[in-house]
Amino acid sequence: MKRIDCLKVLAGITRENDLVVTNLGNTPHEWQSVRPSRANLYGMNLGECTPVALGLALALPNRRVIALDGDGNLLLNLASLADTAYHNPANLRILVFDNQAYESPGGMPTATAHGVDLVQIAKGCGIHKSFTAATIEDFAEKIKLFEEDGFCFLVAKIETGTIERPPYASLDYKYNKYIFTTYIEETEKKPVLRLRSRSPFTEK
Amino acid sequence: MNVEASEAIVRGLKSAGVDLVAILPDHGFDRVQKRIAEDQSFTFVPVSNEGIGAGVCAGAFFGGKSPALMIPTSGLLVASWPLASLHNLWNIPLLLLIPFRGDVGDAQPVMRTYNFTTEPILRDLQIPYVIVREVAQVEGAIKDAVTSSFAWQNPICLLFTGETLR
Repeated sequence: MKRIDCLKVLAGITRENDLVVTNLGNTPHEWQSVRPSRANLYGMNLGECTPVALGLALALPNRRVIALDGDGNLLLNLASLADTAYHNPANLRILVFDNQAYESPGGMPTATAHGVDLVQIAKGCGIHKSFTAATIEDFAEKIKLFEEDGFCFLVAKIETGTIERPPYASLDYKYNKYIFTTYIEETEKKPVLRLRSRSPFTEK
Repeated sequence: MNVEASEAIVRGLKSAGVDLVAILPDHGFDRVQKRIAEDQSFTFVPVSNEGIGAGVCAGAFFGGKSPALMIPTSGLLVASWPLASLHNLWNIPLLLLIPFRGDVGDAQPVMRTYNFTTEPILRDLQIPYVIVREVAQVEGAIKDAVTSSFAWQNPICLLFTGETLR
């Protein structure tokens, strides 16, 4: 099963106002190719994809938040599964692409290549709606759980490999910050950046 | 942390508009953390390590919250990874509240290390900080830190010591 095929299926059920947080590596490029949107927050570094998605979900409980994490990224901060289970945000969905490898830095195996089962860990943390999909047909069925109410966790067992990338990226992550925050300001009708037009040092 | 300083922190957070507080339990902040947990005006997010707390605060900022991360002195070392890879790289505002254990006057031997690590790490992470020694400084320091954090799109840290910790 290829990640890009899973992402195409996911894009088919993603609503326009769903907020999607991705990890680093190949996922953000593939996701941008199938669902370009101001509602995407790309490029969370190792161990930070699920925590950032949790914070976003807690801040905006009326918006659905989808985290696109990876096995290597999540393994660095496995305790984030425990904390996410504890807070149990009903609007959060976590999708982990498990290719059993640190693919971007060269392909060394992750712990999941040696039998570590992320779904069992999630269940042990108390995330009862935790599932694995190993084929694209299975994935297309399990991803429907994202449409149901409540926090859920899905691991997609994928092969390594990615789509061809253009030579230049269309955005960097700081630029993405401003795209995303202004999108939230517009759609939630509240300030996010809170930049100041005056300083207390010069106000009379 | 004494009762007066704890109450001053709660007042300061409210008047500065802080509405989400992520914490890892800390002896120095024990009283104020319990106060915040009981106060419905804050989204209270206890976490299992400080790196998760920093990530949660970044996500909360993206969702329009004004977050604070309240962690033990040692937790700055744990949080340094997301503070570098998220907050510094993306310029994300954050109010960082840390007891300055290991400051001169602290008699606990295991805290000595943090005298050597705390301020250099904050400087290396390009996080401006203020050392708050008196209870009377607390509310104003929080307000100023939140103001500059959003205006500069950068974390600001308050290190509590002296009268506030005794």
